[in-house]
Amino acid sequence: MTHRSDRSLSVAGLARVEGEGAMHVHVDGDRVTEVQLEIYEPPRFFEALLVGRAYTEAPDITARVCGICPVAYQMSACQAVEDACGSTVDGSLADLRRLLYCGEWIESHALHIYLLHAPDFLGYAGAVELARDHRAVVERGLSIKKAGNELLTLLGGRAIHPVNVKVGGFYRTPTRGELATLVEPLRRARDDALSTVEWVAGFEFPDFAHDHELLALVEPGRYAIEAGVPTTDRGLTFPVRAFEEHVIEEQVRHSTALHATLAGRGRYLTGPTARYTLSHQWLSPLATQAARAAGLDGDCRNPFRSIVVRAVELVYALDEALRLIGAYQPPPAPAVAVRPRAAVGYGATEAPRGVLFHRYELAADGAIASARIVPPTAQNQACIEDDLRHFVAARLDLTDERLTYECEQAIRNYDPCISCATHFLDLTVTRTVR
Amino acid sequence: MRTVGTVVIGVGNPYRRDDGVGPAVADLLRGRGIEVAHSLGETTELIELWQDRDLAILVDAIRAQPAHPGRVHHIVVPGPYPSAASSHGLGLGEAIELARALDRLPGRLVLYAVEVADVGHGQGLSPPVAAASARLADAIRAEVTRCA
Repeated sequence: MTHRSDRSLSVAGLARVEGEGAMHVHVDGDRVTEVQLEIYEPPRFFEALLVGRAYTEAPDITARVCGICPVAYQMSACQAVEDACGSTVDGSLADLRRLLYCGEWIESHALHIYLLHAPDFLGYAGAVELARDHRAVVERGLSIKKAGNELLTLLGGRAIHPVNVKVGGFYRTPTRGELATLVEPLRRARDDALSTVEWVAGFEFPDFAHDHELLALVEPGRYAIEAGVPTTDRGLTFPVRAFEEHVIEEQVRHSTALHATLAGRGRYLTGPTARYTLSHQWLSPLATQAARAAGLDGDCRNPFRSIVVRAVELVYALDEALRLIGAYQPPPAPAVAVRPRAAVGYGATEAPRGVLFHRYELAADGAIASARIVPPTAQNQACIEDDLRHFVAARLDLTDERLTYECEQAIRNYDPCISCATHFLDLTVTRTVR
Repeated sequence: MRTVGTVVIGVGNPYRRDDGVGPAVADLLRGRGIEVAHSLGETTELIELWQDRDLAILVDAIRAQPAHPGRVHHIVVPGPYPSAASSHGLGLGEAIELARALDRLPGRLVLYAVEVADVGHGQGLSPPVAAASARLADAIRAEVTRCA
């Protein structure tokens, strides 16, 4: 007698997945035949609508790509435009950019850890349900997020889509006194972040390890945030200007997001665990200590443990913000002059979710002739699908309901935008037994 | 008259035309003895602004289909409120439910939602929404005075 079962797990609408997406898993007997993370978000045409705009507009226009990580877009855009124009932003202005970026990491990581990801590990449907039973814990998360928001507001003018960033630096730079007002809230948030690491380290993590090549920016001597050289854990390294030679984006039928691979190598992963694996040796002593106490070694290949890595990065971002504030000397001018020229420029920074690449081609008058943006979500799409394929194959004994729930969790491991919704499932399970 | 226990929160982006109706209403009430605030609608910010208040009045823009620009919807919390259709971050409904779970809702939370005509780039309200904002500011002032 032959016995065969087909199972189909389908999530029709991943709401608030940086646009719109769905998940489809097909199982034939004990074989996973198909896994698709379908991103059906309508194209947004950012690269096209930048064409013809002034070089000075790139940071503000591209910031609108994301409400969670606008600073990442602003920083990659500024870096690329300044590269094209042959300008260098260094000293206190560069430090202020790093400080602003720390604010975004703090705000974004606190949101993801507490409101989006932790409920998965504790068996809650979402942040509201978690808050009912663990009020103090959620208050702690909101308090950390608030410290990040305050940093963004002071440096950027407002917490969402900051308005104070410009090509060459800032419209206005803060005084030492203004920055000093952030020290106490940031110290408290750093203590809370240390408690966060302890808290998430105690979660139960499914036994799972991937073998993706890991790509992150590396800046020897410090944990890369707003600059660095693209580097993988398997020895590949290339300058930012060669990004498009090494990262190949392809259209796939089931997604309006492009799938990225490394030329001649295949899929790769970017984001917190890649950063940690490549740069953990440059964390601050406090963050290193927290990571060790949490049981992280130098290589994190279980994506479920990304919540621990994010918590360690939270400690680091707060520690680094306090260090930068302590060392701050106001720059002589809020920005350096950046004069346009006909050239191509490249920029890459570490958004909370991973490497964000920008390239701009400028005309002599500074008009943008072409633009290219490679966001982390698209880069990670192939790895997420691969994780689901292996993850499902090892858990076929679970009920469809449980398996779907764990698949959602596996998706949420990667990305605050992808995982933004805690209850996004409109699930259809089809099981055929023949 | 100063009403310490009340805050009027105008939610929206003044650089997107009618989306700025909330902040515009707040500005009309500024300096008239009512504490006002602008917000971009960020969850923690909203909770901070309304917690510990006897009364919080929140004014926001909404799009409706079919649209009646300037029409005002009046909602008194409690909900429960569904999740908003935002593609990034948490929506107003989630902020309210989170605040409820954390016992950080104000004594009374009133929402005014104004239907908009134009949320394109730029400052200034369309005529029907501008007219609605003036009427709404008067109504809120009367409501706050009555509650005081």
